[in-house]
Amino acid sequence: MKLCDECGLLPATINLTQIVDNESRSFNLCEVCAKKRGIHIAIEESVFDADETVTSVQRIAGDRECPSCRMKLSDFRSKGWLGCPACYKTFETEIDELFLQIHGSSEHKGKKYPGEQNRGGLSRLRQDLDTAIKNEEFERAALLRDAIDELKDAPGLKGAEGK
Amino acid sequence: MRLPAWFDGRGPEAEIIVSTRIRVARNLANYRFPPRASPQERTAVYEKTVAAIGDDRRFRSFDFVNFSGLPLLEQQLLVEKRIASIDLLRSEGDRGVVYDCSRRINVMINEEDHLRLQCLDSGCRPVESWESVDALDEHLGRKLDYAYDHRKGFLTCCPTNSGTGLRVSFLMHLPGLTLTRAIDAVLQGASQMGIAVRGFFGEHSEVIGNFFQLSNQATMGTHERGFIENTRGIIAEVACHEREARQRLLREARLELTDRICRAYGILLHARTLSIAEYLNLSSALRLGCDCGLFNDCSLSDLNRATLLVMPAHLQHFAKKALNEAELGVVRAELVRGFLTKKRQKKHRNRNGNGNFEVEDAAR
Repeated sequence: MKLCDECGLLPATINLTQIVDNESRSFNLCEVCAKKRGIHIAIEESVFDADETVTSVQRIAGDRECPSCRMKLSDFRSKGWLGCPACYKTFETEIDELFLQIHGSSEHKGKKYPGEQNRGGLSRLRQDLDTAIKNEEFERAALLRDAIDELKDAPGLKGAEGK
Repeated sequence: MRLPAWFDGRGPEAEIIVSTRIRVARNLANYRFPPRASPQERTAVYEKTVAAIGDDRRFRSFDFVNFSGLPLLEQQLLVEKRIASIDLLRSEGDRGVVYDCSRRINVMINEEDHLRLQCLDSGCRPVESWESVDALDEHLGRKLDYAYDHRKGFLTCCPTNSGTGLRVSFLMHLPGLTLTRAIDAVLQGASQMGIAVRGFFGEHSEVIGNFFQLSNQATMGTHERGFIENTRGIIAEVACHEREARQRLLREARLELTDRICRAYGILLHARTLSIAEYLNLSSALRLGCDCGLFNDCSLSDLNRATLLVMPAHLQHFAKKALNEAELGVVRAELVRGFLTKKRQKKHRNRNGNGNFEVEDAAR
């Protein structure tokens, strides 16, 4: 399985090829990094820009797997259910498309739930992670690690670490 | 035997809308969803939830039932009362249900999602049901870490429930629409407006006894009260069509309608064997008769009670032994006979011994 050229963490699912001045450059990106670059992943196409740059976006064929619970995209497609909360990030594009089909929307407008930082925060998650490692619950530990990473990147907590 | 509150048949519009069910699906962050969770994870989720409910004095009267190790018959009794689902019974490991003493509010743990918070009320009471579920959800949300994403809302095992995780479901009795052959058109119209239609026993079940469960299809894109209002609005229209159909039957086919009710009553009073489907189909005519004033030997509440008592687990519970399909049919018919005869005699005693058949004479 190829990993994303940009973050090196998540599986690459998008191939981006750019031809500038007859020189071709190819990147393999994950859904998240592709989104950060403003690439609309639902469409596979080639675009000619005004400056004559050719950009080709293609989905990399093959199955993908949730890094936290090992659920495969093909399993999700055949069963119709997900393995863990982290699957929502792994299969984000597919789930968003499905949301539009089922709900006619992919946006939650109901009750808000306070962020983790308002409910105990990083210290408790770290304690949980230590316990999970001690009990050799590695899959749960992976989920907790992801949650901690995400929280550390949350706007409200940036720069607060280590103080 | 204590019956769930929704059986009393006294809620608003209970002659058409038998019950209202509101549920929300919630999961705990950092645990895999139940179908993929390890036995240890299931146990941890179960224990955390039980502790979160148990440590609040408002919920001190709640009963906790762990399905793991619980005899199958006990599990089936809870399923028949609609306190637990058939999927919970079929799951494995630590799982169960927590419910209040009136059997109105319950939380299923480790069914398809870690938590399913539910409220069941008699008649059409979506706002009251939602307020009860919402209060419990607020409490549990403070004690537990829900899996939530600010854009996708509450994360659920199946994406069909994501967002609000809300299902607003009404059990409707629609014999008027069936008899006037308008049912398909009305339900098709409801379905085009985003309503899912299921049978008496929920998902994948067939339609019997003219009972239909109607619920919202989408759970994302608007807020909870929006879904509740929208679903209630469509259900109100369906109920209005049903009411009109009943009026039309009374106006245009009074004799045929009375004949149908009398025949159904006759069979139920004298049958020596009855299947569930047969009982539900025949008692559907009696329910219709109760509402139209053509039958008054027993009430809707009595019929609700009988509907629960003739279910297989309840029959076996009272018989104190396991029964096969054929034996169940015999015991069911016996119970229905006894039940209706008793109601009939009681009513006639109250009328100073008038032993005449109380179903309205259509010729009058």
